[in-house]
Amino acid sequence: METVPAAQRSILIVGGGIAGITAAVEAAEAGYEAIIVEQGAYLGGRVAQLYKYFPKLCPPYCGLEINFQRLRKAPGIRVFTLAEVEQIVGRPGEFDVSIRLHPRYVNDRCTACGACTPVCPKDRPNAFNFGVGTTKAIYLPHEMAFPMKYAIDGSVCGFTECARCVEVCQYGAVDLAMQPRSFSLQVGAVVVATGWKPYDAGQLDYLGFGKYPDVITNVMMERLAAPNGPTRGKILRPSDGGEVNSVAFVQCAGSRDYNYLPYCSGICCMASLKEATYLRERNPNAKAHIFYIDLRTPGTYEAFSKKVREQYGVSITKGKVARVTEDSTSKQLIVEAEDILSAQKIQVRADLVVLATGIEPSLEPGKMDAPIVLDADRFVVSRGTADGIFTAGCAAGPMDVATAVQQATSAAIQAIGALQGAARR
Amino acid sequence: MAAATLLQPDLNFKQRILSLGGADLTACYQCGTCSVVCPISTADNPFPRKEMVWVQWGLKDLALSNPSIWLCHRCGTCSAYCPRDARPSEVMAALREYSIGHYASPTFMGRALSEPKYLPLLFAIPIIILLIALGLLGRLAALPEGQVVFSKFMSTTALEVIFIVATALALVGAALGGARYWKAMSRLDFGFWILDFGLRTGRPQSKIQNPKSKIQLIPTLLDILQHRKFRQCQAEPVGTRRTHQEHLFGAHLAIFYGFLGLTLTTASVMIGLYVFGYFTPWPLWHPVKILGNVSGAAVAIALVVFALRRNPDQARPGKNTYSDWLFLWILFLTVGTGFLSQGLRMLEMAVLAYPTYFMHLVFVFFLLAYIPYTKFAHLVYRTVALLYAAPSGVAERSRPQALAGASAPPSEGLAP
Repeated sequence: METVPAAQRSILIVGGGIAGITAAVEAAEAGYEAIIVEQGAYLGGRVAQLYKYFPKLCPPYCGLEINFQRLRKAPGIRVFTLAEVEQIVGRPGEFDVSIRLHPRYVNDRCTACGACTPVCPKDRPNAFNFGVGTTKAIYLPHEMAFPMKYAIDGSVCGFTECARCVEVCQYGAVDLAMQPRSFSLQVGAVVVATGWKPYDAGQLDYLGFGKYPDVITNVMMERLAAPNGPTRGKILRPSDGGEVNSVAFVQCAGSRDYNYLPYCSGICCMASLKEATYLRERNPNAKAHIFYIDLRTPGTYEAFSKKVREQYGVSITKGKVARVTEDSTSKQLIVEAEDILSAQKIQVRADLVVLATGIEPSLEPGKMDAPIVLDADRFVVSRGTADGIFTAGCAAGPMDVATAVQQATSAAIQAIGALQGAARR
Repeated sequence: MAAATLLQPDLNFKQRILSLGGADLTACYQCGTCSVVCPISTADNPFPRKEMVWVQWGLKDLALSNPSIWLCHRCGTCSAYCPRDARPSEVMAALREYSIGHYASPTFMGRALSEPKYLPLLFAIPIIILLIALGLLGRLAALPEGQVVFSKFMSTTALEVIFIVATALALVGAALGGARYWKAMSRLDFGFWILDFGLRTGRPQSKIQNPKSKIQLIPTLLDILQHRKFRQCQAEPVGTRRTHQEHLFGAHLAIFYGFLGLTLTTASVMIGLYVFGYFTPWPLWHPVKILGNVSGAAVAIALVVFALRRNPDQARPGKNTYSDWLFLWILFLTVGTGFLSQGLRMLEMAVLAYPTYFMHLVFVFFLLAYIPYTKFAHLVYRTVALLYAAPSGVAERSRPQALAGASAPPSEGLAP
């Protein structure tokens, strides 16, 4: 019996978010080798930044924890963080992949004891909290980071001029001389799970983002509500730290709009309904008001919409917010919309305005030299087993976590199918 | 059970609006961004969102029987911010053009001015009338001898008879059209469409009470003289996008006062002639003559601005309809032949001066006699709409009252 080449037993997984992790563990538990290449410093991606999932309102850390367990237990998973796939060439069963590893400046000896942070003199915006607050140049990506290792932001670190972290680290884990390096490997199939990024609210010239500090985005709201967020889970006005008694949610902020993202981002209506519950669970007297074009809660999510409106007393108005101003005396925000059902223009005062910004593909066109096809909206088109390259999660289009996980499982199975096809060839 | 409202969609109406420049309206998904960014639509009477759905559904009566289409001054902010690129400002313009034909009295005049095939006939009328006048005056055989004086060619009396009759007919047409529009608005009383896309049966309280005693003639005219609406179009921009706001106020102000100046010039000449016995032509340095020339120049410059805005080289120009160009060209030809006549007269080029003057009279006739049926009719219908809406405050720019602390919106309970 012929031996199967190693490449024909391994699957490259581009992206270490919930979809990439799922595809990797599914493939590994079936006996295949999975190589996760993640551009960030940790696995878990966007899901790690969420406070709760809809519709169950449970914390994503729980599911992530389970997946990290599976990841550790399954044989044959290799993880590269701060890594990028530069090139993929070849065909099913024999893809040559070039990977570039960016320096973390912290090696595997790190125990995440945190002795380095007090001595670090440089700050950087806290990317995990979407720029709310700062971290030191040497930072732990988040409390449950996988791998549980610090990293140094090379763009702000003083390196040899400072090196105080090197002095205090008793494990010798800081290595400021670390250099980027490239390497290549062979795989038999690829799963593209490059995920999404929140649409840049700064592009929306009429909704006050950037002009008024109390206009935030939905992903920032997740961080505000999260116990490990910048406010330790208190929902406070970013401008003055004041209590939030009313929130206006602006749906379709940049989605379904030919000037920005022409498509529906699919998850924002559910996300806003979910975030309205964050407010009410902290402040039962607070009011949440959702302005929508169409409240899109497909399938069984309709029940969640009903529940939130009935049990959490959330008001909804059909009509898109197209003007955000500030009361010059009270500094409260005022949103304005046409209430379509009564054909009246209304204004609503709110302490906080949350822009329901949408999903944009993370993968920059041309960044990864690979035989993949992007659609008009820059999402990756999944073609068939013959290609040996499959997609999972928001790389393929806007979707919720549950769908992304299902897709990732199916992508793992398709990838295994491609490997087996190649082995028979 | 309340009687059901039977909707009677008029698909020909919809098609006509699409062809008049509203072609993108089918993309509208009724989000109301347009109504909110509109600098002049009010809390009680937001537009143009409802106009979009009325046209989509072919609800002609609703679309044409409310003042909104004329309260709009086409700054284009709605089109700049529309997430669907449905271009509401173009739809409003198409509705205005349609409504001029719709309310035209007599009806055939509306059709005559909206279809190019009738253009020769429309020109033939003043040409024949003026030729008959010249024939009766015995001027068809030979041009007047000596110094060029237009009153030797076409007598002042003949001009008065022709143009007073033409103006009177135009006034009658304008009055009839305006009255039909007013009646249509009163009949719908634009109360019942306020709710639920206008589909709700029954009639909640009317938004516009219009007992005639409350007509605010003077304030409305003052608004028009000050171009207050145009200035409001420039107020409180929601963002940074480019609209048509910059050129509209200045250019329209110039053309408006240019026309007023020309009217004043004509009146002064009449008074000078009959009260003081000054025969034309008056010298160029004469104050009235200066007023006339400056006014004419103001109109000409504004026309260039308006024509340039219709330049198809722009990123996305609106549709330029026959009616748009007809109006611009007639204005341009009127002013152009006016200046040319004056120049040729001073140059003593009789052979060219008299025919040019004849053409000038033809264009003036076209401009004045057909006022209620060309785009010029906006002065009738816009004034009627402003007068109609003024007592209710619906014509008044206002922001809605802010509800405290995200309180329940008016639609709560109606929502699905």
